[in-house]
Amino acid sequence: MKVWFYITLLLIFFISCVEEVQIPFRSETVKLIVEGGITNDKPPYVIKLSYSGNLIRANYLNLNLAISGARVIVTDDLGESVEFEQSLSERGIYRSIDESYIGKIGRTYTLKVLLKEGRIFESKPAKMLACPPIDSLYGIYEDVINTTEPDGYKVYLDTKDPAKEQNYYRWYAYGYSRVGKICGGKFCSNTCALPSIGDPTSGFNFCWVPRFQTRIDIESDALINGNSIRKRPVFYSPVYAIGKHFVEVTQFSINRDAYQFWRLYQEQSSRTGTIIDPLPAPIQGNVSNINDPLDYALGYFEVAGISRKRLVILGKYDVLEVENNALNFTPKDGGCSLLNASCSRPDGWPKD
Amino acid sequence: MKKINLIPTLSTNIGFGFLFWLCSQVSFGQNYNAKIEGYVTDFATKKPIEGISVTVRQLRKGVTTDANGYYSISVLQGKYVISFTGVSHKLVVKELKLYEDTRLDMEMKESAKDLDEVTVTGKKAEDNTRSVTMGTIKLNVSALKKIPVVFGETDILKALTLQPGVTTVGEGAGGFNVRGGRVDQNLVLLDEMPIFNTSHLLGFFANVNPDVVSDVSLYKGGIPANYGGRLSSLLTINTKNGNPEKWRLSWGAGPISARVMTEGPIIKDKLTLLVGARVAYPNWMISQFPDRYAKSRAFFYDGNAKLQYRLNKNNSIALSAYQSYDNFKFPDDTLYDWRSTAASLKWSSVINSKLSLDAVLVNSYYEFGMKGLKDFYGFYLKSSIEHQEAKVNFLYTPSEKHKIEWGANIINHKVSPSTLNPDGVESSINRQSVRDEFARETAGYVSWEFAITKLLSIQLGGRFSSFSQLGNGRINNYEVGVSKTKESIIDSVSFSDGQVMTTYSGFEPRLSLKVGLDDNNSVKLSYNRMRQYLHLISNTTAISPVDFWKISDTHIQPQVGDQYAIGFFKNLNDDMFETSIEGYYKDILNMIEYKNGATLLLNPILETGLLNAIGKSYGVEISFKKNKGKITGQGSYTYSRSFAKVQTPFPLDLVNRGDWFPSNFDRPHNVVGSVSAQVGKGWTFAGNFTYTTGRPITYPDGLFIFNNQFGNNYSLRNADRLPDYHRMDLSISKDTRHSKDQKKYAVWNFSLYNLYGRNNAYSIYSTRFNRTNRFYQLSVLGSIIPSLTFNLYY
Repeated sequence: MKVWFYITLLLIFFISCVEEVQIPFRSETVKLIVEGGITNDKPPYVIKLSYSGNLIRANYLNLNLAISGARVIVTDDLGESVEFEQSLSERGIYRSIDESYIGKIGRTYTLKVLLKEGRIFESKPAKMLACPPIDSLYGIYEDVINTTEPDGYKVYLDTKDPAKEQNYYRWYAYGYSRVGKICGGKFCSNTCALPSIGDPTSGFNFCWVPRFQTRIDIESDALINGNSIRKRPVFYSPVYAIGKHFVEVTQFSINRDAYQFWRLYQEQSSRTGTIIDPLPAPIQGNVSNINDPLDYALGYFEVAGISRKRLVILGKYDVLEVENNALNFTPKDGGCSLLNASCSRPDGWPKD
Repeated sequence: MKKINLIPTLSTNIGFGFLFWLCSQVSFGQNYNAKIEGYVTDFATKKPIEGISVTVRQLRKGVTTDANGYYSISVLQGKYVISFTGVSHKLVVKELKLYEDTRLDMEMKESAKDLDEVTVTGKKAEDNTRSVTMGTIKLNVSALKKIPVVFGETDILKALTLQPGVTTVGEGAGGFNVRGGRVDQNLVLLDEMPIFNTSHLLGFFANVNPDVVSDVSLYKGGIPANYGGRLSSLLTINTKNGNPEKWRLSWGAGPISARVMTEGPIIKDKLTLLVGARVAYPNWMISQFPDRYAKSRAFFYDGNAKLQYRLNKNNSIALSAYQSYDNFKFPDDTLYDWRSTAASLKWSSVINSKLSLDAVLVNSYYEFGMKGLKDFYGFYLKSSIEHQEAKVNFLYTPSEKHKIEWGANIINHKVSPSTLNPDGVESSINRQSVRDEFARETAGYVSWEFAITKLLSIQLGGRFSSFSQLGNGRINNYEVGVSKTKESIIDSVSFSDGQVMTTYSGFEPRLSLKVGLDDNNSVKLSYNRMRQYLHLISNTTAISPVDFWKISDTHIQPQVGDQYAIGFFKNLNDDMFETSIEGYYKDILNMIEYKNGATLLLNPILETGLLNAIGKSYGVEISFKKNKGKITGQGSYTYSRSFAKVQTPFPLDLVNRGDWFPSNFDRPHNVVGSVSAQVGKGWTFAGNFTYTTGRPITYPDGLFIFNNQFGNNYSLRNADRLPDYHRMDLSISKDTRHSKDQKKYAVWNFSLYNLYGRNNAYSIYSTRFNRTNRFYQLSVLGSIIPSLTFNLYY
């Protein structure tokens, strides 16, 4: 009897299994993808236009998708409008050209896209909603269970949700830390010497390493209306070296449609194959062909009021703990070999 | 020689009506002048047995006992051999001289204790061609212990999926799908108590303990007029009555759970009790999983109790109670729990030899809870549904050719869609709840089964049901010409407690016709309409714990389904082989579909997230069975399709551009075979094989870059398919009895589930590594699973 129990037990280990497979592929009509929007922040505002790619192989991504030659206009409910101009350096990027055209809380905005091939797309009108201020940002040094990154600062946000209306939030954050060289198994002093002639990388003892948030961070006040939003994690800044960290968080007050779009996008990009996965769906937003409503665009034209806050973490470390952990992850030739690292001081970095 | 317990009572019956005589004249043109009638009861329980075939062998003429165990046959005077056969009872043969009306009551012994027979289905072989019903499956519960099972758990629902027309979306998914229907379209009645969730352990097992079950019938079509409320099927599960003579005990254990059952007389021949329970201990197994899952916790139990009081020969009262509980915890995150509690009280009365009645009171409550364990955001979410019902059924059998049933019921529904409470003082969660919903459903029905001639029978029935949503509540009116959203509400009307808010009603015709070509060949036709007023709201492929029920309201209309079926049935070799081919077509109105990205849970204006859809399914089921002998078994091939189409004037809400698309349960080809062989000395070998086309799934059909990430586009729903599913299981079981009447014995079962260890895909999903997509297949039970289980009887 017991023998079978153990045999059963042994086999259970191998029961639920995941294996890589090849799937057949099916290509559908190419879709317009709209990304970007307008806020009450200072211009320029950015709209990005691209096409969806066909599947050439099930796992192949075609990168040549940017749209050029389109006309992009945003109009508000008072009839004022602003044209967007195609960027010369970045493909598919359009920027508003009128510096004096600034988004205003309470106004309603509509996007119109005229493609070179003739189709005209328009967004549903959306109202710009006021955004409550971020009360505080703070970082707490935490051990993380992650084998690809060192321990670091989890950045949290507190804000107060206004009770009188329904609010929907989106947060975006980015940050920098400064990472130096390793000398003799320890961090060297963080000084930025000039490079020696003939070898442009030789002098940089440290670089600023940026980190951009990629996950979708949204919340509805449906469950917490009028209460504080406390200790909401908004960012993670890994500690590669001893030193300061800089973080900027933007809080967007988005409308309900936008929230639903982001949630759909989040759901669709986080499908994991569990038994309670949502059904797959196109990430259809608020933009569609004015002559053919079935020809919808993917993506979203977002109209949002924003508030922003910056945080500098001075970094009081248990040096030994940090070194033990971070040295496993910091490249031997220093922070300058990390992705997107730069020796120029980023905007907002505190004076040493 | 078997000991036959035969208590013939002779009595003259002079009250035989003229009507019957006339009908006999019309249909047969013969002169009957002797009638034999009587009651068939179970030897052990003294309860009437329904569905026993009483056959006059020389005439090949037979009838079936009704719910009161009553039968009656008229014959010419003469000497006859009469046989009594039933699914789970031993054959009794009696020779009689019939010169006057004769009463022959019969006590029959259960054949579950018979070592010689294991049948896969519990349907009587001759019903295949001779009864008017079609599209029904009866499971022989006593044989369940000997078929292969997963983790040692005998499971009624898994056994049903080996039958044509019954599928699931995958291993570990709760519920079952009948002829392409949804899970919530099955009415599951345990002793008349509706069961709203049939799952244990998130869907791995059914939550009805097979040890306490006496019979299981699934109606895929031809649903009797006395039942309504769900579109696809009716599953009736009846529990055993307690043993009236002696106390008995049985218990058993397997890798997941242990079970115990006891039954016996509290007052001999008057009051009996049966109690059964199962308790699971899956945690020790889960704790062996890799770290990520090892902290998960699960638990379940279920219990049944039945008290049966025999007031006198003609009246009895049965009280049946049921409870099932589950919880499941994902590490550091969320705790789910769900509970079903139900009770029914049934009074059965035989008013006279022709008329009997059943009156039933039912209460069934299902509740689901979810506990969030995150700091500052602790919560407890609860939803529930309650069903209170009173019903009465009359059965009138004026003659062997006529069977008339009528009755009525009233149901009070209460649904609490969801209530959210903060958990812990620091929680930022606000208390929130979606208003409770109330409704009353009333229905009346009549059904008439008429054997016009020996070969031609008709069952005509109708049910009229009415459903009213009651206050308190509010009806929102939406702007015409735009999609329903919160912003398009123009006004709303409030209703006070008990006030009627919306009423739907309609007639549900039920019709079956049998045209026998001869005793062994027949053609049957059926049509039925069903109305469904309750809907399970679920935006996932499999039913999930967070699904909740919704009653029909002004904006969410009741689902209406019509099913047409035709079949040809043939028995061979003195009913040893049973074959059939059945075709069906179903049309469904007002199915619920979901807008992309809709909020369902805690949405007080749920209609803004829902879409109206129509559905159709059709198929052919070809089935072959061998009922007798040392080797028995069945095989079937099913072709079945199931589609849905969203109907909305607003193009952005359309799914698949408004075209028909395959539903999640569209599995065209289905082959099932099961064989059981008796090899002597109590050993039985059994095997199953099942093959099904993979279920529809949506693979990405385009790629895009958004938010600096690569994403997959899914433009069409259910346009692709998972790989085909197939599996073979084997089991060996040993019954330690040496003689059929041995009281103390054990049954051991060793099963090998998924014998050749196929990784059947439950789901395929993709993950991106920078610019490439990689696809992974998840198999839930992707290797051979041995299990050993035993049951001891005292």
